[in-house]
Amino acid sequence: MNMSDSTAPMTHGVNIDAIKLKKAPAASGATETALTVKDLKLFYSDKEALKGINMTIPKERVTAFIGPSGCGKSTLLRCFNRMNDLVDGVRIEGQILLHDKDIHHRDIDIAALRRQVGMVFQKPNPFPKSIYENVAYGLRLLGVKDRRTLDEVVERSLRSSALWDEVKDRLHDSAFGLSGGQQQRLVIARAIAIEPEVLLLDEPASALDPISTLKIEELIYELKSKYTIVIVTHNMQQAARVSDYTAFMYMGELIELADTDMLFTNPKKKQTEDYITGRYG
Amino acid sequence: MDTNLPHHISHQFDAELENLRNRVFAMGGLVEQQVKKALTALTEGDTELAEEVKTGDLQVNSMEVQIDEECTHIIARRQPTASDLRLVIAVIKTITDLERMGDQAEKVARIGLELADMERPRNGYMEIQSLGTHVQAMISGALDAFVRMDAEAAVEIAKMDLQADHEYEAIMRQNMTFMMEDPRTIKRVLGATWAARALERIGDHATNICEYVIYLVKGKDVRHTTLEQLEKEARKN
Repeated sequence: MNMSDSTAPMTHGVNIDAIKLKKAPAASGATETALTVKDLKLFYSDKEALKGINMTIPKERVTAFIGPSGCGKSTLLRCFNRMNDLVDGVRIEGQILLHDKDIHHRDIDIAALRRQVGMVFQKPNPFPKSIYENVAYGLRLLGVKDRRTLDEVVERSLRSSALWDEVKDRLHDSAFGLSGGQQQRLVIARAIAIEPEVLLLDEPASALDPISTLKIEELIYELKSKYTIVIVTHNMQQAARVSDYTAFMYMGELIELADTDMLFTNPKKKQTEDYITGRYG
Repeated sequence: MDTNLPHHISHQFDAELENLRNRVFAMGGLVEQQVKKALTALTEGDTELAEEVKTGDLQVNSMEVQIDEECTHIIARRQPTASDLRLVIAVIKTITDLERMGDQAEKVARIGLELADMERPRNGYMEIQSLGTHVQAMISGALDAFVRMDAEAAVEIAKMDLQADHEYEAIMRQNMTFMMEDPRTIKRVLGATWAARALERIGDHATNICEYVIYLVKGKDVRHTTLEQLEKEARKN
């Protein structure tokens, strides 16, 4: 094992050994909690975009956020790795706990947090580099230089994201040569290469054709055995297909969070019912 | 679930579901009519009416197939959720029971044809008439609860099945006595017993529909539970 690799993990909050050995960090119980949100309020200047959200995101499960445009679901998703810090005039109250640690605590290293809580956006955003370098990028940032480690992680990540067979013969070609669906899976491979705990997916398939969409959904299903996944989607059927739990949000409030089967067959709140059945509120 | 849900954004979808509900009601009405005719055919020995019931059953069958197809289309095209999904599922199940009721009505009519040539009992099959009237009330009550999405009314109708069962038992016991007293009546009395059995089954199918109504309204599957359980679920908010 290369010494330069093992110096990185502690300071950056990433377990390099786990990445190398593909050890999931501590086997989990049935429904351990990954994220806890307590009285979370978010203001864009004067506008209250999130009005006191309370919820828990279970570990190694898929939680979907649904709701009409502007309901705050993406805003909430972005809170989980503090992406909203980058937006001017945003004020946040309340707490988000990742394993009992407040992610807004001043001791928290934001870069480390974002490694623990990875994010994939609507539009695939590969770096202008080769396929290989895209996936290896995170590890290189962490100072991993050992070729064999990099090769292993790149292959494993690409296999996990169901892309390996399609790109194994052209790893050093530009990532821009891939189709949209392949690019999105590449971005997911890049995100999981550094073994995050939580994967945030913001409309990951809305720019893709139906087949690529199904591949992404299949991938989400595969990935949930190792990662906690939170997905925002406009496509209710997609939420119904991929998630274990579904949260319905409306006007900055969490209206209902329930088992997906339950929410789509027998929602408890009338607002949820009206939304998922496509009725006027 | 609110019975007065607002309209869908897609008016076409509203129209499709409304149409579906209407067709179930129409099929139920036809089945109710079939049972009524079969009963009259049997008790009054009206062979013409019995033949009508036999032809009518073909229409019941074809309605079942059509409504089933309609449900398949709605699932494929609309991917219904929540109360819409439960409505479609409840419809699929309800029409199966309605079709079986139709079969039972046809059975009663066939028995009516057989019994028409035989000597008639002095009371003119009064007890079968009574059971038949009772299960007819159950059918219309169950359909009414379905259309109004009234879970509590559904429970009341389901409770009526107890009386249907008791009446059937009484008929059985009485008919066994008849057969023992005079073995020459066995063929006729056996026929009457089968007819009573068919009517009792119709009551069971009506009870099933009541259970689907509770599923439709409350989202809770209450099949294979007790009446108390049914009542509890129907009263839940």
